Amino acid sequence: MRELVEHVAGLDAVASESLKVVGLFDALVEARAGLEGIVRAAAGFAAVPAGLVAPERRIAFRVDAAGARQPVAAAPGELAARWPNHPIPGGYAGLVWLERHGAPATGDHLVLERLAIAVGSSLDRLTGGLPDPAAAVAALLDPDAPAARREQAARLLGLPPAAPARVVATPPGRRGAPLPARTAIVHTPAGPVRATVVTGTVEAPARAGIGPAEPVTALHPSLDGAVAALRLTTARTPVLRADDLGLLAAVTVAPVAHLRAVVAAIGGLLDQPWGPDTLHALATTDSVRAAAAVCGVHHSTMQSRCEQVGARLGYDPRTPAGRVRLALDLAAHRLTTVRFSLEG
Amino acid sequence: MTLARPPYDPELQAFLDTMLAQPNRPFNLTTIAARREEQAAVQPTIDEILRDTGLEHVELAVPGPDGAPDVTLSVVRHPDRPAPTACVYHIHGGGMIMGNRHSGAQAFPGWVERYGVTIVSVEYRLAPEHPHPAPVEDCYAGLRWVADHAAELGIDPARILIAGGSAGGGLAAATALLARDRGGPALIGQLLLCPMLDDRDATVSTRQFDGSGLWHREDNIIGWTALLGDAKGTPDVSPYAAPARATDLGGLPPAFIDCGSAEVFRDEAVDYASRIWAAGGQAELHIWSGGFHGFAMAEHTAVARAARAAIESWLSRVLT
Repeated sequence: MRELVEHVAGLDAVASESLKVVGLFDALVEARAGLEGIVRAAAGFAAVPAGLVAPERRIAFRVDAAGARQPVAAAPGELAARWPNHPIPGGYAGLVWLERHGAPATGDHLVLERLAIAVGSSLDRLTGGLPDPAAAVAALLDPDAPAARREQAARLLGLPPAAPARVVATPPGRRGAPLPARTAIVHTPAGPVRATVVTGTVEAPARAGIGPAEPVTALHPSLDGAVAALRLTTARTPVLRADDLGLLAAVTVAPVAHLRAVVAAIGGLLDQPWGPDTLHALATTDSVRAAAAVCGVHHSTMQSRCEQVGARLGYDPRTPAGRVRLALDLAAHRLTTVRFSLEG
Repeated sequence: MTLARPPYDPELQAFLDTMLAQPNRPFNLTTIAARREEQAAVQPTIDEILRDTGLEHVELAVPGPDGAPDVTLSVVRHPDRPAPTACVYHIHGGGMIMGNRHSGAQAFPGWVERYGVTIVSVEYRLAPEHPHPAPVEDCYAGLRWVADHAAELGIDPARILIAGGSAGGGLAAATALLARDRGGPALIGQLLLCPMLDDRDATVSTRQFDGSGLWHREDNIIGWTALLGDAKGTPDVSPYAAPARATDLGGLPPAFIDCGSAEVFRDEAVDYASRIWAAGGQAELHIWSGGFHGFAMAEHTAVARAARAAIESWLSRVLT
């Protein structure tokens, strides 16, 4: 290959090396050269081994400088730490790398970038009708998608169809931002939400609703639970598990329009400086004294707040029945007022 | 009307379109000098190729054909070889009009390492300044000298293999015909890589690759015209100029013939192998799917790697 490059460089001194790199990878994609051919071209051009790992497609191989394909066992993080690399665009979790020891050669960066783009567009093409991983996630979460399509989506994402998984719902983030792996934007009554399919242990982000575990090909209830939980999160309880909500999850699908007056009343109380802490404390403790302790106020102060709350809502939050009703009304307020939207 | 033709292999297509893309410029007999200079400027020297290989390079001037100048031979070998070794007698390509004995020498170190052979590469005179029979007679004269001086070269005269690509493949086939018809030297094999065998421009593959590829139909016509002048395509062309003209392909050494499915030379390669078989000879034929002429240059591609593996397999069977 080096001879070839020299040969070409001599034949056409005007064309710069970088133009050739761009043209080569574009041409490989256009000619449908396949992932191995694309990675092989990078190895040939850079004269060092090159590799590709795409965990959601279960693809991991390297091509040595002589063009021979070999399997790779290392994890993406390990490879990223060891070699100059580039993430694969389009929402894939994988990366490409060049096994260059020492200082990078001129053009390595460009080769990596074009290699990553070429791999990304080829993966899109190879996913047959599911143009990218986000589309596969969306298919997986779509209750109306035929079973065969959901199974295809699971395979595409590298998930065994019978494996249990959970949906984690988080706020939608910035408009156009690259999505993490196995993530799609789904539209809910509360606006767009990020839904991520997670197997194994869930590492909850800052604000999230975590759905119940369901088979990968029947994830829709997990999405419903995750979205319900996310909609009920507050600054005090930023992460909620649907498994812990019990019947409260049902209020997210209950008609709340007739609760307008109560929702407005809750809103008015929450606008008081003491409102949010006090209502939360009253709904989650079993006595005025305990609520006062949570808020760090004297119990006589809490008593007078309770009377204001009772007057405003029309029931006494200090009774067991009133406490339950307050918790539900707080939920109704969140469901009515919390809206998600893409930032920027 | 454009004929339907086999598509290029995807990896090869990408190389052809980018790495091998050449400015569109006239190529004809009057621009040959400039093309030779360009090629010489980018071709690595034999010293560059052999650097760090531990191999030695010796140049010899040996008698040419009757009344013609001496022929230069480049000998590449291992300095500590346990003599005598087998010999690969190499004839370079370049359409009969370009190239020199070190064109394609990048393959030499690998062959020496792998098979312990001595390589002799011949500098033959080029057309159009030196039309047929100058090129093939130079090749034959060099081969004759190597066989006659095998002992001093440390070569086993019973194990000489002739090899060449493109025009070099055509000249290798022609030299093998001469060796058969002139009673020697004996050859153990002929390695004919995408060989240029037929001046008649009458196959389907030449019409399919009219204007497409690295050595397309027009280039091929220029090459043959340089070699044969007005005789090109007439009944008078000698089989020693265009081996496809040979009516008798019996009594030849075992042949390895390869070619791309997407190049001018495809059909003549297939025909040559078929007629060797018909005459009771041995041939191994590989037509590589989607290969353009010279696809082996894109040496990292899957097709080029497979083609190289096939050559190495055959050489190891013939040379041991």
